[in-house]
This record gives sequence, structure tokens and C-alpha cells, in this order.
Amino acid sequence: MRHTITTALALCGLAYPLLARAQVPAEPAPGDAGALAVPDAPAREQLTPPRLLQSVEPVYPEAERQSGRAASVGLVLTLDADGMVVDASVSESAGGAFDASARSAARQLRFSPALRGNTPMGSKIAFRFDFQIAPAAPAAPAPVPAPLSAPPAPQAALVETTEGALDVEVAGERRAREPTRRVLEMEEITKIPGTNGDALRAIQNLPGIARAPGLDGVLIVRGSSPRDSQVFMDGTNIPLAYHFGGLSSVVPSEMLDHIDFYPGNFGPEYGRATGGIIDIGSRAPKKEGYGGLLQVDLIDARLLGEVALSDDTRVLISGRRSWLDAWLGSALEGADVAVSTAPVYYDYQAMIEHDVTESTTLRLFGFGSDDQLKLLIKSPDPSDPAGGGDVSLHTGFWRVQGRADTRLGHDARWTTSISVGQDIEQFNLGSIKTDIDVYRLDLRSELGARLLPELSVRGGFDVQTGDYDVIWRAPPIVIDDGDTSGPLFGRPLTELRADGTFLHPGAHAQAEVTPVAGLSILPGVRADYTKDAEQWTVAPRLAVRYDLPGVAARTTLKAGAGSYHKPPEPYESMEPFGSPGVKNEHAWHYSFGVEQELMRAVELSVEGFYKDLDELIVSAPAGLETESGVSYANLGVGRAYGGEFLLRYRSDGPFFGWVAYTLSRSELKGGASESWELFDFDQTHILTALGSVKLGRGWQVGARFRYVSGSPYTPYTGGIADHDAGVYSPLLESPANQSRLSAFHQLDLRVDKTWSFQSWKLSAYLDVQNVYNRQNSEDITANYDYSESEPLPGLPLLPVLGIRGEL
Amino acid sequence: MKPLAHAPIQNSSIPSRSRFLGLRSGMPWSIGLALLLPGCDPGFAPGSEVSSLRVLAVQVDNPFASPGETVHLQALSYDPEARPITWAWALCAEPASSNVESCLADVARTSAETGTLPLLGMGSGLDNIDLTIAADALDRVPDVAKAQALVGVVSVACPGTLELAPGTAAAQLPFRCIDDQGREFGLDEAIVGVKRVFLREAERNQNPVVEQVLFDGELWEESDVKEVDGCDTEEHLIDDCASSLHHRLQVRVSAASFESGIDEFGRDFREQVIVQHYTEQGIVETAVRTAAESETNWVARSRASGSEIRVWFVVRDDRGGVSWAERRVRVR
Repeated sequence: MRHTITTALALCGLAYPLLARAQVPAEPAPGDAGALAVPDAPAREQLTPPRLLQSVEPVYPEAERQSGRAASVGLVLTLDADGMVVDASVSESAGGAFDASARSAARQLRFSPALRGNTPMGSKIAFRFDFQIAPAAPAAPAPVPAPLSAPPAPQAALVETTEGALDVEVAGERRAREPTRRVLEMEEITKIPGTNGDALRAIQNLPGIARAPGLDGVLIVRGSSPRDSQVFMDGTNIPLAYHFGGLSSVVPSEMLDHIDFYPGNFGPEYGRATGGIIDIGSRAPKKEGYGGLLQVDLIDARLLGEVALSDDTRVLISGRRSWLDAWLGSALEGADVAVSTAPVYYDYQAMIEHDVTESTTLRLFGFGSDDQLKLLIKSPDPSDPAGGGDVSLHTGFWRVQGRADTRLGHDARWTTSISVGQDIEQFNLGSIKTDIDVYRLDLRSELGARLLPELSVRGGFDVQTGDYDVIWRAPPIVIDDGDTSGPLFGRPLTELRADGTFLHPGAHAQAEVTPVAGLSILPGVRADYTKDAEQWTVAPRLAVRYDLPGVAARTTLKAGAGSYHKPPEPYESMEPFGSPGVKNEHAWHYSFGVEQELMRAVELSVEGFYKDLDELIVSAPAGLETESGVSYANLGVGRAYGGEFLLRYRSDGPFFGWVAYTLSRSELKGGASESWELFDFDQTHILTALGSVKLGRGWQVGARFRYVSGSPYTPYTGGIADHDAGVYSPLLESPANQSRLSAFHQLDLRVDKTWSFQSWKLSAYLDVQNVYNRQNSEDITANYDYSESEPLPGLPLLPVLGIRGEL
Repeated sequence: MKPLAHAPIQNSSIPSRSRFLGLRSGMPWSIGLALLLPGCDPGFAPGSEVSSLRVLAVQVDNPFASPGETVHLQALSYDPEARPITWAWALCAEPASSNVESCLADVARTSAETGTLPLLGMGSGLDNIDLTIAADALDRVPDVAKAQALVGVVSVACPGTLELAPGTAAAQLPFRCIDDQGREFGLDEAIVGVKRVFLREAERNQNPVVEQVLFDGELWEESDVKEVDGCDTEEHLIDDCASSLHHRLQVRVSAASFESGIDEFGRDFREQVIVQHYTEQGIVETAVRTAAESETNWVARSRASGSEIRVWFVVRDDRGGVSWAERRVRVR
């Protein structure tokens, strides 16, 4: 671990999460996937509703064209165990012509089947088609465009129960507004082999995101630095994605409804990021009855309970605690480490949801995470004795989020959310110390409406503000890619303190224009103010999607171009840490691609992307010129480009899987006169193939194979003796990153078995990573004077066993 | 291994971008886990076994020096081949940062710009040198940065002919070390190092004091040569040797060596004090220990049978203080 300490310190201590990272996307309502209403079924097995896989836009009837009237047809669809529509009856008529068109369109819809436990079954669902005549008299009657904010047709509704069928609500998946938006459903998240059912690790299997080394939890999206991407929980920024930097996500998968991943060209509702966006949607509590879950594996134990208190109020409470301390504590004692607080993490979530009226829902959601350990390391690190003695780490955050979601008639929706919270980071390593405490407030409000059949708009504002208090005591460290700061032991310490207020207001607007059937043009703009940079930024963005007409299977062409800004990290711009005057970093995103439906539930998407980065903030030693000893300036430029390929079989009950491939290159340079250098995690080829199949009788098996180009690294050329630390400081080849680690490849397997009982079910799983025990190279390690080096192997074969009981 | 004069020095004045950082990346925990998982040792020969020329420490008699004060630097070095060592000492008066590379870059830049080296001294066997701190050394330092004020001293220990190469590119070391056949030594053969001298108005930091050395729990005087049996192994793990061959080594450091209090800038401090163990032809179980719990196990190698070998204990605090003790063992 040569220089792990230096790098990590540089990165962790300065990386107070804070001040400014939060932003709330415009569409906090998950609302994308099906919501479930569970009646009193004979056995209390979990019921999974059908999910819309293929939508169809109904034809506006010629016979009604003269009238031009808008209409709405309610249907009850009968689905078979394959999710096919076998019957469509009219429950709310709009007249014969409309009814006929609606029934005709309904028979072309495709659903994943309803499930009782793991068994596909027939079901009945309510469905609605809205008709409005298209403007500008296109040659063919135009289907109704979906409103921007309100869920498009089909609309949600309840139907009468018929014997043997399942009552469900179906909310249609919202129409895509971005060139690339990838959605992972719960079943996929929890069953992908090699991830232990962890939500964010599941994301790393999609195109556009690079493989993070080992247990590291960094998110590397289309060649961007991890700090350029943002993670949200129901629209509220969270500073930590993982416990212990990569062990497991800070939100358990059981709390999730879905995850949206935008690798680039995201809409104007998201700002302050030049990389990608991950938006985690929490699930709502059960609307009827009660439920519960207890899961235990080698890492942690989790408990979840939920109950509908009344017809319009329901609650959900969940908590998780690691029990690493139960066994790791003793292991550490054996390794000459005195343990005061063994490594332990918690996370917790509580939610109450109340339907104020039929059109307004209020929700209060509290969640948080806490990780800590405290040790006395009696044998300091031989490569840097600073890595010894008293060591304590504590990171955590909490948020309380309130949200009101109101439908203003059929064509408009208003969503407002407010979140308060705290971010904590405390790190002590001998004499080195960071203590960061941030109280924050995030506010967002957004209104979306369909003004005309061919025009929808939405817009809103978001504000993030708060108070911070930071103490930093460490040697001045230039945070650079080459990590040439050397050992920390024996270097003079800088002690910096800062407190103050941060303020980042922003506003956004977007229109969706559908001039012809199947074509959506989405111009948008976002404006932000960054107080610490004293800078306004305006970012125009454009997305276009076009469903080719006259083809049986859906073919969509898509493209996007947009401007993106990211505020300076607080340590870069705020005194006494940073350099006042540092401005936002900037990027242009361009992408173009095609989505092709190949058959039921099977889709192919291919995209090319180019990202042009400028105004990147670079650091340099400033000697005695600054209090921190480091100065920052917007001198860097970068570029990332490549292609993404995804062949996906969407979960339809018995099977899901995909093949994802990314070809990319990302480069940076510290100034116009410098030469291009590869980004640290540049991975030319990233291939992931995975699948999971239900075999019946509660058995499910899955496999995942990955092949990834080795990450670049900079070879050591030797070492210089640091006579204060008594160790060597490495010299590195120049330019950086001219060598690569060997390629990574790995096979993971997962087996699940579920036993269903009358009122509950029991599951067990075995997740085996690196089945053939490949010695993958994760880094380079060196001897004491850096005259010899060799690859550092990654995780060996790693089986994880877990059990789970569920009401 | 690149020769000295070809070793690339990163020009640390060139800015570079942080490519990965952030609490989001979990880096605090990466370091935490890294500290806890010291395994994965790929089997390199450990630095605690001195098998080639080494400079184990450089002591400044007063690690915190005042402007105008003269301090004395003394190196602890050892060459198993007992070759004559030529030393050079150069001053880096204004390093851009406190890392060693900034000091080297300062010397290289000065050399390239002026065509002369800021040399303090050079000569065979010159393993010590005096340094006088400029009287105005602190005057040009802003108050907010005074806690960072230091000068650096670059030392070169060459087991051959040491030549100066001033005026070369600023990204290269201005030294060349050559053997009898004209071959240039690399960085693993000729030792280049950096020692900091902290600049303070009045504050002092004493070097740690080694009070006692213990061998298997008994006092081990400097004149006392212990006799031990060697372990017949070429591996680097002490567990490969019978426990009967293990010997417990321990250093006792004076209580005053663990300095703490309020420094010249009003900041509280508490020194971290460590012990680094070095040996000729032997295996140290734990090369670095905290001084409060310094005991570790050691075995000699049987290939040293019949000879006398050295063991060194280097005690450091984290403010530039260092002391050492040397003992000898005869391998039966």
C-alpha cells in the first residue's frame, strides 16, 4: 500500500462533502415503475404487479377528427401469465370510435406478468388512454404526447377484483426525455451475481460506468472523475454512496424502488455535475396490510417493517447494522491492533406517507448513515509511519425530507420538497486531523404542465444552503493524479479552520415539443449561482428523440447536446483552503444513438458520446504564498469519447439479463501547453454479460462475467530517502499513466432458494465472486526503495452466504 | 533503475488536476481499510534488512532552528561492502512544498538556472555537515505560513566517484555517481535523500533519547556483543524460523522524548514517536513499532555464521527529531 495513506489523506481530508454538493432533481417522484396495491390475498405471498414493457400510442380516430375533441377511455385489461393482453374491456367510454381505437392499441401493449411469489399469474389491471388531436395536421393522425411531468397514459386506477385475478395499479413508465436513461428494477438490483444484492454495485454493470478497483466505491462515469458525478436519494444529494468506502450501499436494496442512471446529457433538472447522475428512488410503504423483512449475511443484518395505518396513511421503518465488529475486532487484535471501536456501520430509514386528497400526497422521509472505527495501531505502516498510532474514522450523514406532490388537474403536476440534514466527517491519524461538520438545507419546487397537445413545459428552482465548520490539520498536500507527495510522517502540519455559509441557488426550465408523431424535441436551460465562486452559469441543453413511424418494433433515434457546470470543491475555492476566484468547471456533452426493440422484452441500444471538458481546476504547490500551501486555477482541459452497447432482456418474470460493452478513452491535461495524459481509470474495453433465471420451486441461478481493460498506472523509477520519515518517497515516470495493469476478468455466480410458507417466506442465497480465482491486478506495489514493483492482486474467490425472512 | 542524473523529478510547479477524490469516493475508508489489511505482501525483501548501501537516518542536532543559527547534520549510514563513500550536501532554501520532490526540484532548478549548485560540502567520508540558517530566513515568510517554514538539505551518498552535473535540465538531479568502469549508479545504489530543518523563532524540539536497549528482556549495553544461533532460511518471514531462534528486541525511550504541549503558533501537539528496526542478515518481525510498545522479534540468518552483524534502532518523532542506537551480535 505504498502511498495509500498520502493519497487517501489528500483525498479524504480535503474532501469534505459538504457545502454545495446537494441538488435536487426536478422529478423527485420516482413514479416510474409500477406501484403495488395488495389486497388480502389468500396466502400472504408477495404480489408483484405486471409492469409495462411496451407502450403503444393509440390512433386518433378519423371519424372524430372533425370534432377535434379530447377524450379519455378507461379500460380493464386481462393479462395472461405471460403478460399478454388477452382481453380489453371498456370501463369508461368516450364513444365508439375512441373505444375501438383504445381497445386496438391495448392489444399491442406488452407487460411483464404479475407474480405471486415467483409464480407468474394472470391478472386484471386498469388502464387509460387519452386522446387529443395533434396540431399542424400531420399526414397521419397523431397520438397524444405524454405530458412532461404528469405520468403519461396509461393512468393509474383500481378495478374490481375478479376471482383468480390480481388487483393492481399500474403507473406507466414515464416517457424518456434524455438520450440515455438506464433504469434498474428491484429484482435486477437484488439478484445480480457478484454484487451481494447491493444497489449501487448493480449500477456498475451498465454501459458507461467503469469498474472500480476492489472494494472501492468510486463511480466513474464516461471517463469523469468520481467527484464530477452525483448520487441522489429521492432527489436529495447524499455525500456518501457506500459504507466503508465501498463495502455496501448506504441505503439497503430493500428500500429501493428503482435506480435511474444517466451517464450523460441529463436534463436541466440536474445541475452542478459534469459527469453522470445516479438517482435512487425509494419505494413507498405498502398501501394495504403490513409487511416485514429480516436479512442476515456475513456483513450485516437488516430489519424492515411497514404497515398501512389507514386507507390514506402508511409507514415504513428500516434499519441495518454491520456485525463486522463481531469478528473483525478479534482479528485486528491478533494483528497487533488495539481496538477501541471496532469497524461498524449503521443506516436507517423511516417514512410516513399520507394522501391528503386524491390528488395530493405528502411524505416525510428520514434516512441516514454512520460509519466509525477507533484503533491503536502498534505497528505503523513501514512505507509511511504516519499510518500508525491512534486512528479514528467517523463519517455519516442524515436527512429529513418532506415532499408534497400535487396533481393540478389532468395536465399539470407540482412537486415541492425540502430537506434538512447534516454531514459529518472526522478523521484522526496520529497528529493529522480533519473534522468537518455541515448543516444543510435543500429546497426544491417544480411545476410541469401540458399547455398544448404538442407542447409541455416544466420548470422550477432549487436552493442548497447551509453552514459548515471545518478543521484541517495535515501537511500541505497537492492533490494530484500522480500522488507524489510522499510520506507524511515528519512533515510540518498546516492547521486551517473555517466556518461560514454556503449558498447555491439554481433554476431550470425545459419544454417538450412534439411537432410530428414520435418526435420529441426538448430544449432546456439551467442557471446556477455559486456563491463561493461568485459566478453565474447558464447551461443550455437539448435532447431529441424520434420513434421511427411505420415499423412494427420500436426504433428510436436519439441525440443530445448540452452544457454542464460543476462548482469548485469547497477546498478549492474557499479560504483558507483554496484560492478565491476559482470558477466552475465546465463540460459539453454530445451523444447520439439508437434504441431498437428486437422482440418482446428484448432491446438493443447503441450510443456514441463525446465529452469536452474545460476550465478544470488544477492544483500546484504555492510554497508560502498561501496559507494552505497549495493554489488552484482553472487551467485544465479534458476529453472523453467512446461508444456504448447494451443488449438487454428486461425482467419478465423468469429471466433477466444483458450484455453491456463500452469502448472509451478519457484524457486530461493540466494546461494548454501540457501533453495529454490518460485519466486514472481510463478503461478501453468494459464488457459485462449477466443473466439470472428462475428455475421453479423457488430456485433462481445467475451468472456474471466481466472483462475490463487494466487501468493505467505510472511506473516508479526509484525512490528518494525521506530522512524525517525514515522511508523512501517514490519518483514516477513522466508523463503519467503510460502503462496499464493487466486486463481484469472475473466470473461470479449466485444461487437463490426461496421457501414459501403460509404467511411468510424464507430465502437463502450464495453469492460467489471470482469463481475461478483469477489473480486480477488492482494496483502496483513496490519494495521499500521503489526499485522493484509488481502488481497487487485483487480479491480472491469470495463466497458470501445470506438468509432472509420476509412477511 | 535509472541513474541519478536521469531520474525524472516531477516539476511540482506544474499544476495537475485531482482525478479522484471526495468523500463520495470513500477515500477515508480506503485508508482505514488499507491500514487494517497489511497483508498481500508480495514477498519483497524488507527494508529492515540492510543488504546494500543505506543511509538509515540523518540527525540535526537541533531540528527546530532559528534564523542565523548553525546546526549540525550527522548521517547514519552503512555499506555491507565497506566501500569508501563520497558525500555531497546541497541546500534547498525555498522548496515549493514540504515533500522531498519539491526540495529536489528546488536544487535542480537552482542548478539549471545559475549553472552552479547550492552546495554545502562534498567529500569522501563527509557524512556530516554544518548548516547556517540565513538570518532573514523567516522574514520573507508570511505570518500565516510560518508554521510551514523550513529549509531542506539534499544528501547524496555515492559508493564510487561523485560528479556534479550543474546546469542540466531542471527536471533532473544535478549529480552523477560512477563506478570504476564508468557505469552510472542508480537510485538503489547511490542514496539520495532529503532532511528538513524546521524554522522557528524560538521553539525547540529535542531529538528523542534512547535510554536502554533490551535483548530478550535484559539490558543490552553498547559494548555487549550477544551470541545467537542463525536460522537457515532465505525467506523474509520470521515464522519460517523456529521460535527458539527468535529474540526479543526492545528500545526504551526517555519519557521526555514524548513531547507535547502548545507550539509557537498556539497549536496543541503531541508527538508520535516510533522505532524503526534494521539488521544485517536477519529478519525483523515488525520493522516499525510505536515507541510506547517497541518490542519486536528478530532472528539472525545462518549464512552469517561466524560473523558479527549489526542491529540498529532508529527512534523518530514526527517533528524532525531522530536518534539511534547500534548493537552487535555474533552468529554462532
